[in-house]
Amino acid sequence: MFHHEKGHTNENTELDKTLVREIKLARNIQMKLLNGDKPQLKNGTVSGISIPARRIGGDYFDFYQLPDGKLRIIIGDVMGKGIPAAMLMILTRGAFRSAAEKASGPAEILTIMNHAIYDDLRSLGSFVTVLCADWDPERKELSYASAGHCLPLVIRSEECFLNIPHAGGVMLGGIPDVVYKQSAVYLDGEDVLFFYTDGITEAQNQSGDMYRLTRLQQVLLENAHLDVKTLEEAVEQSVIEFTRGLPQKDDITMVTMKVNRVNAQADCCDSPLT
Amino acid sequence: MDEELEIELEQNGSVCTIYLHGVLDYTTTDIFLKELEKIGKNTKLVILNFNRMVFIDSTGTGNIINLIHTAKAQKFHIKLEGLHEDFHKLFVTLGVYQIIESLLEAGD
Repeated sequence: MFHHEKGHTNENTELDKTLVREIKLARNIQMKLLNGDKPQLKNGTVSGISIPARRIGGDYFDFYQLPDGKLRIIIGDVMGKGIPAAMLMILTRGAFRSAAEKASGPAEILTIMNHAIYDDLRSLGSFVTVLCADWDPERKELSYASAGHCLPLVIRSEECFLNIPHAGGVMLGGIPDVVYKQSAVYLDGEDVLFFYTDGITEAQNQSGDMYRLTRLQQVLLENAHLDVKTLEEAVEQSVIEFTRGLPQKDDITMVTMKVNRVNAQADCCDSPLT
Repeated sequence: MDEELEIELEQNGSVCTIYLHGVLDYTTTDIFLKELEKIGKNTKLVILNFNRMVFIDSTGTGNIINLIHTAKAQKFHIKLEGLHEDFHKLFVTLGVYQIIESLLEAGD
């Protein structure tokens, strides 16, 4: 009996080690996919970061540069936590990469993505929220569509936020054959665009208070003069200070783009970047 | 932080009202799903009362979405009531009301 239990324990230990190793490898894959090379903008900069609440997460962001100089941006949040969410994040990434090649704009991308992954998400009882945007540096126009995701914040001249037109649509996996709509906004020189997931605004401290949008907006206004990477670090630091290192339930993801006054244009390339 | 979920279920004829107290997230999803099994077979309307709900995450929202799809398949209606402003805004952003309208109210 003793030998049997010991053998069982050894098997469990070996299984634990295997699981830990595989989770570590999965995390490496996800971090590699998320944190690849960022697109190079002429007279503009873009950055993105994703911090999983666990070893791996279900948040997602990606870029796709079009031959005409436009930059396609997506940020998303998969329902659930950990490994299951990470698996669906990969599914979402594939759907975006495929749709980004052929769609004319953000709304069509979301329509194609929902069509592609709706059945899978329904059969799994899951959903994904995403915000997709096209940045046209020639026209200084940002067109965007939402599938259940919060709209980006546009910080104008370190003093105020620009109210951008509504572009609400249902989450991916919510309704079959839904057709998404898009809105657009023209940006001034030195506007800062900030895309995010609710892991930031819903970060909680030990009292159960949430970080909330107002704190995020305050930090963005105070740090809008910084470069995109440092601005993201300021947001991250602010959340850490608020939560005092309390482990969070949700992943934190942000994408930041800064447009300079001089003509901004994405370096052209035909292929995905990350 | 309150991590508990308590559920009261009232079945009055063909109307089933489910009162959610506390947190509906990935840690309490099993409690919610187990309670749904108690919904009477001849139920025509399920009312979800969120008046005392303090937090919902994406897994909790997913449970609501799945219940809406179940309602379509099993031909009953769903009504959401007592939503605090934050939760109402969240459901607007996610498109929860659109799903109800599209799946349960279209053609009524």
